[in-house]
Amino acid sequence: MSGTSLFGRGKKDQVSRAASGGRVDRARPLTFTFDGKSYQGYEGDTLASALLANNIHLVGRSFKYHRPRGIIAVGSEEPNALVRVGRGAKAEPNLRATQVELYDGLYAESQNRFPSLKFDIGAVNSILQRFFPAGFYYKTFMWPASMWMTYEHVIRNAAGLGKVADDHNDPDRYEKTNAHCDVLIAGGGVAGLMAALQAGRSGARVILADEQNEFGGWLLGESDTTIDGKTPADWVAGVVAELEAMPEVTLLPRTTVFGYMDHNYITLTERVTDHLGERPVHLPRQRMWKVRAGQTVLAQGAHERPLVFSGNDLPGVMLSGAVRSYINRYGVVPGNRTVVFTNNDDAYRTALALHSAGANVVVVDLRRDLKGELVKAVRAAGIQVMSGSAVTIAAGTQRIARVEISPVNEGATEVLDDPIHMDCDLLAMSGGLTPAVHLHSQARGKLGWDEQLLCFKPTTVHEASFNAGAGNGVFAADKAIENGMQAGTAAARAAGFDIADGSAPEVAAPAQSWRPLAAWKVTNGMGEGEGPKAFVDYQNDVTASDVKLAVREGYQSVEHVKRYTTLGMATDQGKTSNINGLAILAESLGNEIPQVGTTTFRMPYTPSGFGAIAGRDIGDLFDPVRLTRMDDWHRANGATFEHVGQWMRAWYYPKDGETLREAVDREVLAARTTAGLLDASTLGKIDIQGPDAAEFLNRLYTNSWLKLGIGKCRYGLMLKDDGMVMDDGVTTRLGENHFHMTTTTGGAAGVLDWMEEWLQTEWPELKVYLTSVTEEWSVATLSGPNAGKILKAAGVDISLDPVDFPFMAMREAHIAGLPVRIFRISFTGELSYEINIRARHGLALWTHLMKAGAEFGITPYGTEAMHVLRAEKGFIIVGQETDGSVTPQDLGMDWIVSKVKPDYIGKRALDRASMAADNRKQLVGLRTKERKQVIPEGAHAVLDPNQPMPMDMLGQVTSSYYSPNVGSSIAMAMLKGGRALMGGTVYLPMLDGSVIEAEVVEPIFYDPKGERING
Amino acid sequence: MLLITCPHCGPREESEFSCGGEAHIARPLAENNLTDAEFADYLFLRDNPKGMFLERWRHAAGCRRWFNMARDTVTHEIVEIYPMGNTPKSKAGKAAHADSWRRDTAAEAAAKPASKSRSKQGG
Amino acid sequence: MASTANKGSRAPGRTALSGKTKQTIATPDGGRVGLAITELSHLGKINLRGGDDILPAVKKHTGCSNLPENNRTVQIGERTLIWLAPDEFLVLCEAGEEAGLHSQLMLDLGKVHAAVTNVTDALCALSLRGQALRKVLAKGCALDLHPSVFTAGMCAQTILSHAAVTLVAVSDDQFTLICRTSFAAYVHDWLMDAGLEYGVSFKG
Repeated sequence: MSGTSLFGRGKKDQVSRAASGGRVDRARPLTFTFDGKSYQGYEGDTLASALLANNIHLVGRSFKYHRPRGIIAVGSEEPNALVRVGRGAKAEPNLRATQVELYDGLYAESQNRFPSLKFDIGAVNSILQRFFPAGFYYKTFMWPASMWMTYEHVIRNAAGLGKVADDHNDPDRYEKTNAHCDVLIAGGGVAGLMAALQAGRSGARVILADEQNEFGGWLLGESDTTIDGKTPADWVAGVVAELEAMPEVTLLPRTTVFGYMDHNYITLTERVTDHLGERPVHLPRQRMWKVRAGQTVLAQGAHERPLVFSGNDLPGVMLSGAVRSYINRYGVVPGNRTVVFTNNDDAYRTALALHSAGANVVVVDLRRDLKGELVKAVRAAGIQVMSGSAVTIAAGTQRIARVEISPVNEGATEVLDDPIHMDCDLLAMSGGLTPAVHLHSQARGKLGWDEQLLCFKPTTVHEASFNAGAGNGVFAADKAIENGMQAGTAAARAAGFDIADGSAPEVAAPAQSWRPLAAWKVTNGMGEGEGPKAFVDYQNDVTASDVKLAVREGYQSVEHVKRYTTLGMATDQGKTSNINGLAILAESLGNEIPQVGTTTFRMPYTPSGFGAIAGRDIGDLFDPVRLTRMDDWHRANGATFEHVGQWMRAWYYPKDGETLREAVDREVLAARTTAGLLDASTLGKIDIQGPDAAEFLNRLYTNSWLKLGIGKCRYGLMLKDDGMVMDDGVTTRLGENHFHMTTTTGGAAGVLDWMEEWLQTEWPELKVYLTSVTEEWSVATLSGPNAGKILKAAGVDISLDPVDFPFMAMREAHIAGLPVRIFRISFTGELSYEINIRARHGLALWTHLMKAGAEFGITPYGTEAMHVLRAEKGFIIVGQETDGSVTPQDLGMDWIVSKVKPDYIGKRALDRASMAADNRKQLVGLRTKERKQVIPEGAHAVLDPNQPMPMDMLGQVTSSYYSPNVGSSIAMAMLKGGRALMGGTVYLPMLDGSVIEAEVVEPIFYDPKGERING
Repeated sequence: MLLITCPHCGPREESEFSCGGEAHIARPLAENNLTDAEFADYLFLRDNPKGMFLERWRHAAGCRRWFNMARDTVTHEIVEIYPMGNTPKSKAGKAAHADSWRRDTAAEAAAKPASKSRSKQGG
Repeated sequence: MASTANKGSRAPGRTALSGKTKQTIATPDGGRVGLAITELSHLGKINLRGGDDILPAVKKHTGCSNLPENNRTVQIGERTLIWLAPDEFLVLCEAGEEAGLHSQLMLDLGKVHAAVTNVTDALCALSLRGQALRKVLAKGCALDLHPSVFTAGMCAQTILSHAAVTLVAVSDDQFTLICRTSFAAYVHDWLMDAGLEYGVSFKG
């Protein structure tokens, strides 16, 4: 188009903007940047309408061939105009320009081009196109398999869609929210609005969501329609006002219903502030809604189909309805010399709209016998109509420049006469309408082929759902509005609300037939595959020839052809291409479309950003961090922490730049020479009450519990019913029917669940109640030869004499006036007191003990020192020595397995023949030949380090540390037939080729006789 | 994502529940002498049918109570929710229970004490 | 809801959120905050398990003439009974009274199969007030919190984002939220973030 348009009375830089009309606000001009150049648009524009207003059609390069592509649609079905919006960390790729609302300062770039949109090196793919047929990637890059990673890298760089933000620290806020409603309506066109009105009037809780910035759908783009005598926009405004006044109705514009899951679980993405140049900090940029709906009304509307002809992907080739919308809704006339190419009546409305806007129009209609009001009106307007004809070839370089028009036969498979040539700058095509059945299909609703409308439309639903309007195959506005009303009524009633039928508004619109002609691929008069390409799927660059090639190569199933050709895949989900592709496939197979069937539409309807899906589950809120009540002290005293489940535990307390090893050595030595203090608050604690509590424990643990005295503690091993160790801990009898159980930190929740499961499902006759008290008690473990002295110095009010307070006993006492429970149990082998106090006093107890122990050199120790101390004694840690495949016998803990109890969980399984096999992995100790050398945990042991690989492996090292108390390294391992290897030598080959030599020893390295337990 | 009606708390999201797998697997008593193969029916073998399935569920984030559910694994229709220790009442549920291969196994018979034949509670 | 005045003479000790700073984040328009969070410091909490035969003892010590129905609470004066499960309740009582109440219930329930456990320090209770309360909670809770569905006097154990919580609707715009103390900091941080849209405050 040249400098000034025929009708261009608008601003100079919006040459294609009509002087008036549309829903844009000409008083509010906005400046935006596209590919580095500044343009102007208006408030109410999309990026697409603003670009078209500036006569920019070329907006991107295609996925595979890097062909120049333009805007073809007006909504979410746009396959071509994918742009990257924003800069730096805020950049977002693959946005449809047709859905991006314009704001002042918007910054957008085209995609898939290098170095520039107009000159793109990748376009060489287009020249080499005969080498990129369907299945090209499969065929070329399959061999050799080892090269795939290399190929993939190259392919991903060369092809692929847009580029994500360079800076991954997205500064915007995102969130998720849950919602419940009686009726959810997807789509706010006339059908959806009527459904919402009916459901809302019934008093039902209603959510109405529409992906556009305002409600009204297609009718906002029609100038030839009135509803109750009003313009569609005025009627919509009235309905929206009524809905807004209903307290139980939630209106969600700019919200895409993108997923439909079981039991009416629906996911939506609301673009809360995407349309604002300056985004308020207290608002999320996007919000994902997770809605549980009683009923749904799917009023998604319909997508217009392109016609498949040579050169149909040139910029300036647009969908007819889209052209009409740009004129009527946005006041943009996207061309002056225009050709309308159609197989149905609807495009005649576009011809009239173009004509009214001052453009030259020629109509090319594939149909022969043209009748009806619209045809008459077009002819009356003096527009030339060429019936029984086709645009056989569209030509141009970066914009359509001319077309060849020929008379064709009924199916457009043969050219009947020489073409005429015509110059043009816009082609509006219409291949009929396809109901958007994506959500219905996601919800496993069934589809049926409509022989009249030539489309699939919903038949039966699987969920509690109704279809309405164009998405239901009801295209005429008067019928769609009625259908929406019926669906809203039915949905409200199904949700238990009462509402009268009511009567639908009067719609006045041109009478038209909605039946298109079945002509799926327009010949160009040349042989198959010759001449310019005819595209079926623009986004995935799939041509009619690709589909035919797939059939020639033997593909028959629609699902296979989809994957082989990529037709209808990825972000586009076949919105514009589905039916054309199926029809061409059916034709090639010599089959009918309903027999070929359709592919399954997948979520999401349009892509939904990960930001909204992650919501606020990022950073510090990614996962809860559980802290003990003594945490403040650990932090103030320089502790390093480690995650244990969700807990954050003090790992070690480095002093004056100590390394991990130096700090742990010091802590471990202190615990054996004076005393250490450990925060053991994270241990799971379960309060067990009831007359059958002892019996229950007896069935739960492998050892005997019936005769445990009050105030006594006992260690227990819990198995799964397959005989494998699942948890361990000490349980104390507080009263005849009252026990206090401890579990591992990580196992706490699982053990409580496990116990509840057995009580509720297997032994409901047992009278036992369980209550978690993990956080009720803070626990400080005082361990070491001076533990008793420190406790006395702290002012404990009971006798600590081993006679009065023996090992494995519990005493209630006071320290500094505060009541405590003291358990004389030991995970270090030293004299040890686990002091439990109400959590509110946890920190006070800790600091009090530290103060009282100062003169004895009390040393706080973390989980690493705890691990070393217990390993010196050969105590196992469930989850470290065990992995769910280890029995008590494997651990050498036969002593804890009762031989006399009639049953306990795991008993029968331990009796299985395979459990007695002598090549089971068994717990052993390892003593390295080089005594200071610490074996890496996880190292595998072999008998012969010189054997060829793969070596015959005995098992793995489960725990390994340097022990300053022993003065050497210590290690525990699970080795096949381990106990039979006692005294022998094993070898541990390292990654660097070296080999560690170790002797197999008993897994106990310190105080084997247990003489230190009383201090 | 299923919407499950907890028999105690009412309808809640599936994410509040944990599935305990196949229901109605009676636990053999250790006192009964089963061969390892017979015991394996209890310990290892689980059904995974297309269609009606009787499962155990627990309202983990709510009342923590176990219950049984008859669910169609194809349509995700929840046909019936019934208490632990009970058998299903719906026609489809009853059929699924009666038709299970477990009904004839030695493992199931061994869930009762060898001497007495008192009826057993529990899933 | 029970008062949290500490009636014990001893040092009250620390609460789950003792370390958190009081703060108010208003919306840009400077209006009233949509959510105000207050920790109910040391609110007494007793976990109670048992069947119908616990009623006499419960009645004696709380004044409740019936055990609450499913998903409901019963409040008499300063004491509230919260239904947790078919045989499980949470009793809220005045701060400092929990030890006494615990012993009395233990004593009076000595003959029936019941469990009485003092969980005052295991659980953190927050008072949540404000017009935006239900909207903020909906961001992390899948429960239907509509005021006509989750009405005053109802309760539910559920999930808020990644934390297990018990919600009690005290009135249309006031809830009590109870969670494990080890999750209290997470719940606090989450609420402060989720409430930002409507203005939020933590009053300590």
